[in-house]
Amino acid sequence: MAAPVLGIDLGTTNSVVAVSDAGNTRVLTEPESGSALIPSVVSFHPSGDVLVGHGARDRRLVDAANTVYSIKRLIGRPFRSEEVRRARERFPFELREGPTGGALVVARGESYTLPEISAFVLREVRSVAERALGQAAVRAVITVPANFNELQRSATKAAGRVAGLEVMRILNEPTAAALAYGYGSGQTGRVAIYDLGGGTFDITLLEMQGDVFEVTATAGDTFLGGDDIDLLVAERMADVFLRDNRYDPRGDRQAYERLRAAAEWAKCELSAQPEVELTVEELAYGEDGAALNLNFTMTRREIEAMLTPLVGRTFDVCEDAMRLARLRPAEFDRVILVGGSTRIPLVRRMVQEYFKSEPCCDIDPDTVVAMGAAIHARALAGDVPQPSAPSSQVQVPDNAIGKVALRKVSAERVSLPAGLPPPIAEASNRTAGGPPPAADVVLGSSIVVGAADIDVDVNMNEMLPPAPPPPGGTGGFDAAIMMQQPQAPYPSAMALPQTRADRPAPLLLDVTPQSLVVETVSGYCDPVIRRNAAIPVEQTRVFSTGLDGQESVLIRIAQGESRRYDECQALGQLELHGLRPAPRGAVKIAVTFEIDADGTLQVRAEDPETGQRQGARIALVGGISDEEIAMMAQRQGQHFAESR
Amino acid sequence: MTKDLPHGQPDSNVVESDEAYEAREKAESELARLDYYTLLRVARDATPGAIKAAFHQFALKFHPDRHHLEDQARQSRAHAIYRRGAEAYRVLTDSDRRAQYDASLAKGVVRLVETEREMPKPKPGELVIKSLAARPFFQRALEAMTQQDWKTAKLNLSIACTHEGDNPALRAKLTEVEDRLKAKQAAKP
Repeated sequence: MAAPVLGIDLGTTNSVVAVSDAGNTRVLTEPESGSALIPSVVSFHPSGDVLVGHGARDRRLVDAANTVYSIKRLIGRPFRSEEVRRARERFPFELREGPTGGALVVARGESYTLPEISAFVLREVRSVAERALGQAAVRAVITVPANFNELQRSATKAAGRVAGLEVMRILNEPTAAALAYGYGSGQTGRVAIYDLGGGTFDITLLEMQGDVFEVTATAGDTFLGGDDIDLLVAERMADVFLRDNRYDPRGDRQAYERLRAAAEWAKCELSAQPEVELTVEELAYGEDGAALNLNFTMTRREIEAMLTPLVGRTFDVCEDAMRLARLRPAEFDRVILVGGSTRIPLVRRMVQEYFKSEPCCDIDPDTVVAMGAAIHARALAGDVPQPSAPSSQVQVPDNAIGKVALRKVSAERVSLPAGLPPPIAEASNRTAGGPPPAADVVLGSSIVVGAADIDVDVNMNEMLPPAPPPPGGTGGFDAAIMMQQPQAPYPSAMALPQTRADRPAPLLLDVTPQSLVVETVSGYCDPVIRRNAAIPVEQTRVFSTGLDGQESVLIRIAQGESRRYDECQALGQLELHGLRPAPRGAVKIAVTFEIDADGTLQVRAEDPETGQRQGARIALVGGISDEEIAMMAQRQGQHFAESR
Repeated sequence: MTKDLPHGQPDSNVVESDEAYEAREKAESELARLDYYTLLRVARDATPGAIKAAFHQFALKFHPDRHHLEDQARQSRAHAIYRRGAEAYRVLTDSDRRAQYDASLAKGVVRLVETEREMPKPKPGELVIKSLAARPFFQRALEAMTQQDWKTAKLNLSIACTHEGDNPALRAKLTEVEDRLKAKQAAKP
């Protein structure tokens, strides 16, 4: 097998790694325990060892102050954000402010950036994968919640680099899940991905057309997930303990941590059983030194009453996405459940009620994201045939296909202009090793086409018709579009539904979850790239100097939907430097903002008058430099070398 | 945000290579005369569904993920073509913008470019620091001033002045802080 490319779901609670190769897509498990879920927990042991995964999770109960978990809820958030403030109240480990405005975790006297903590998890994930595969793995696709902003994506990417990984792509979790379900099924339809994980909720609406997965809307709440359910249950437990023993365990971080663990267990049990009864021994000691135990019972009815408002909040987010896509919940062909919290029967019932159709959960909601990431990783690595390239075997796990019976698109959905000829016969006779390159059919003999018809070297003037077609569409454009519909016959080389091999690489068309804005006068801001724009996307803005002889311009940038800059999430600032000396207003700089396929921001700048390329950089809040990444990677390498 | 932000995100600062730059420029000049309908190969009265399907075919051909293993010039060219197609798709699938575009296309304008805006002028009375080198020191001085730590403010303003000594407003600020410091010292017995 060629160098493997990992698909990593870096989760709030657990992480999962999968790989896709010629045979199939599979989740990799720890050879020793057989476990697919790697707890996203890092514990700093008194001996100096750093424990990650299962070993670290157990330490939560005995060494809460030095055991770091749920870091995904905080990564990429400025220290002075509301989320970090709330986390400081309830997390048993210490957080403080870093030099660039990010948060640092302090454990055993040393401070760590959040990407560094995530990198510990990623190293463990990588180690599990390498042990399972028996070979080294360096390249990876890492998934993030669809609603993650620029800071969170960049921090996740930095984490991958600190862990020594080559991050090929930051992929949205719901999109990955859609890929795991839909890739290879060749079906068409509207899909909603309802993703309720440990820390975040995301709703993503997308359209599948063959191998094209186009996201039409996404919305999310990065502070709503299974963790919040655990807290609700733990609060109830603390109340019971206070009532029975007149002692409040909330005052003792370690005791409260044990309650949280018990709450999590009770929550999971209640998904399968109508009632749960548990005892937490020696939670505290009474005046005479006698151990005080918590005796707790809870019924499913009780937990559901507590959860209903929380789950209800997810549908407010869904409504937001529906508005963006201009669709109604009942218009979806399939609803796919992702994330461990969707195992809760109440969640399934409420989802069914909202979408008026039974949700689909054929693939384990804990591992579906990693599997989708692995499929995309393989496509990016170039192992999957591009439509024009020679093909090789690709398989999607059998449980993923067949059961996703999406509605086939019907002919009425594509309206043909009157008077069009039927689909061009020669198109269906094509036997080149790719899907029908409809555009070339339209062009007829004006361009040489063949197996290698993806060719960006071809002059655009030759590739495109010389003049726009007259209204009415006699050019056969829509006929070409008809050819692309799934029900149109594929060339014989493509007709292999039985083996499902020779699948070309899937193409993901994702969107940016939040608007990118620049600050303008008196506290307002101006959107440069709007929310829900298909990525990659770019927009150009012209800025001019406000002073005579000004050498540099600083522009504050943020993400968010408010018209007021302060209500958006500040990202940092764009710095333009080395401007030519001139009176104010005379120098104009055209800045092109680009959100690339990772959803991360890049800029380039040019003086439109001189054509001179201009220095431009973005300084992000909590940003980490290359040198710092190298230093952290080195420090981590030492930790790992010592402990293994 | 008054924090000093010395560190850039490495990925945000990748400089476009000359090769990629030239390929992009060339593609853009070739694209300059193509209207959105021609670009996506749809009729002027194409339905939204037809535009979507056409864009999917376009994307299968030009999306950066389809070219990322190729040399930089080809990547850059494909990317430039894709971006313009995505722009066409964005405009043509939004009925308001499509109507706006059709009106401008009738006048021969092939792109719908949102109005470019200029950077705000500094607010009246706001001190503008021109050089990046002086800026962090000035920021630190401002923070110190809010805490009435005149000594730190003076130190940072002095450093800022070494980078941008020709800024009279900056000099005035330094004088103001020096006066405050003197007043404070004088108040002490």
